[in-house]
Amino acid sequence: MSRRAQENIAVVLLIALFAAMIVIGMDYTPRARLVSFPVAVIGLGLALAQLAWQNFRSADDLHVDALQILAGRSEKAMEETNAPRPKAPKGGGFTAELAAFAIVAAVTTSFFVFGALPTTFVFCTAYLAWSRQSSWLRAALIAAVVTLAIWFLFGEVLGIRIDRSLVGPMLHRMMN
Amino acid sequence: MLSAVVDGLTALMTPQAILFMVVGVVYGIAVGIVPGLGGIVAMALLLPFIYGHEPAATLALLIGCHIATIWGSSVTSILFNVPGSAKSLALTFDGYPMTQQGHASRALGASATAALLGGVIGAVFLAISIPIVRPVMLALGPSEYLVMALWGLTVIATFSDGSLLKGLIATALGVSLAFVGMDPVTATPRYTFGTLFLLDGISFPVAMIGMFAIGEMIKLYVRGGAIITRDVGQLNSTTMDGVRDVFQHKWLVFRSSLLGLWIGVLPGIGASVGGIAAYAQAVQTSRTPEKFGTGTVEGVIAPDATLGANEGGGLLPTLALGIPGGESMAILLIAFVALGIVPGPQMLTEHLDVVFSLVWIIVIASALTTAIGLVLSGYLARLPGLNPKLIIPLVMSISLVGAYATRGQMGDVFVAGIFGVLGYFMIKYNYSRANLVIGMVLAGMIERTLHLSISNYGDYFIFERPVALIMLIIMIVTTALPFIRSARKRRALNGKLSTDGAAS
Repeated sequence: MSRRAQENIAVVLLIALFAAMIVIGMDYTPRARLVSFPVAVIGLGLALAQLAWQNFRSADDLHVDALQILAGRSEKAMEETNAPRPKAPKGGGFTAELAAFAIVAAVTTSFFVFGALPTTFVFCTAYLAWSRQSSWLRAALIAAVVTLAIWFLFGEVLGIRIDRSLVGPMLHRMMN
Repeated sequence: MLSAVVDGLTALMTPQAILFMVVGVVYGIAVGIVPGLGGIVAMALLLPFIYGHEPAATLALLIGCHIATIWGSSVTSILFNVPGSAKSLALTFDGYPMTQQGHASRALGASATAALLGGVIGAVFLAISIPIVRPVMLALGPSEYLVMALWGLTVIATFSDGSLLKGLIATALGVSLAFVGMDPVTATPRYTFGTLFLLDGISFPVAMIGMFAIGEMIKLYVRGGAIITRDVGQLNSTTMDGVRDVFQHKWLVFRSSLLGLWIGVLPGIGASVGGIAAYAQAVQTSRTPEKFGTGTVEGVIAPDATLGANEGGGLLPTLALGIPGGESMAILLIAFVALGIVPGPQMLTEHLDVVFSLVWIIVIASALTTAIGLVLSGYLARLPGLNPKLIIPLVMSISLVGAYATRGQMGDVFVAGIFGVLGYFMIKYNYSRANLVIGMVLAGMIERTLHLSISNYGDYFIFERPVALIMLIIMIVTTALPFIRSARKRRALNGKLSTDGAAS
């Protein structure tokens, strides 16, 4: 899929989101929608303008360097700047993206089902071992240190209850 | 007054006060480095421990901790592009590129030193300006604060990398997302889809953890390779280079500190706008504006000096009027009440020694944070050079636990994950994440002040408040200016091209 097609999908999703906010916001009282409604309308207008901009103008017009304009820096000065700019990811493979999203989904779900500490231990061990960063034993050791550090910082020092999970109470009932 | 200055310092020279200050600073740095757990969380967790101690020692613990968390937040912004709190967002613009180029030590050294100088300047001006600033603060109403919040939004939209339009869309999205939850004015549940969890709204620190920490880890996974683009062993800049940079840019430090002090004085504006405003003024006053955003040390010095001075400014409305300058100052207000100190005009007459104790605490805590920061910088700077295979599970785990810890709700872990994916797509398609976050922060203030303005001055309140009207006009002009200049430039370029074409 071309970059422009991807950009179009992204902006269409934003248009849908702002449109949904406008439709839902119609049900609220005038005072409750006093700010949220105009903001959604402005957002929709901007997103539509962006859609038109990226399809009816040349690719060069897509980017306006505000710093360049405000600071009055010239094209030449820009070229002379030898320090490299931080780069956005180049779409580094659809498979890699899918894998990353799958990891995030799996970890968040596991966090909810099994709790913070078991998830941290299993995730760190599995990630380090499967990415061939270290052996299973070494990965488990590193994961144990990380899990202990999280337990100490959040559970002991900050006094936050980190033993909550979906299966915890069920296991407790089964054992009793 | 001189005796109050001496009394304020003497109160801090007890073993208990010194110990509390050191504990507060060390704890603050540790908590500040954890994404999402900023100064507010750190101070709130200390509240149960304040009872039964000397007021000076208790305040040293609380303010020492708060000041240290600011530098802690700057560390993660510089090293991982993950702001520990909203106020440190501006440090990602140049701090992170410096890390990518192998200048993390220099950036951290500059950050710590600028924060110290900003803190000292802020504290000194706080002491001097108490009688002068009070009438100005009282003259500003909700309409002026509304315009200031809108100005904050447009400033960051203007400074977003790439398309201005995309910057504005991200801002609108951020503001809209902040409306999820119970409307504070009419108690109407908005965009909650009948769920109990969304009634509380989307937690701002959780959204930020997702956007920056998890989004950044997804990016690192997809791209591969370490954060820094050079070998750590080959670095040729040191922490001391950063310290020297700050003294070479002394006027930038001074200007940024005064800006931070002024923004701190205005109740409710907060340091999130301050960091961005400092960055903007640094660009406009720099001799080399073209280098901003590419890893220039000025882009680190200005926001950190502003954040350092902001604390002194934030204390002024808290002490003189009993109006907290920000959320952290609200916690300090709770501590005052617990200690039997009533903030208000009498603070400046009956408790002037306490006021000067606070001024001294800011100075000493800033110095202590900087000393520890300079010692640690060399070690911290090596973290981004670690293999991403080690960094990804580590940062992901800490971030998700941090997201859960902000409110103790499991739903926040999912919210962080969703915002992580959103953050990745925003990086990929050049929609500014900073704009979204600042939009979320300022939305509440915009809504509150708009309702207040309409209640107080009617629907056409803007014409009733000349100062607000002038500020609004300036805001519109400064926002439209880049668009107009860009259009003019393109027209001139097209004209030149067509003339050249006709001539040949």
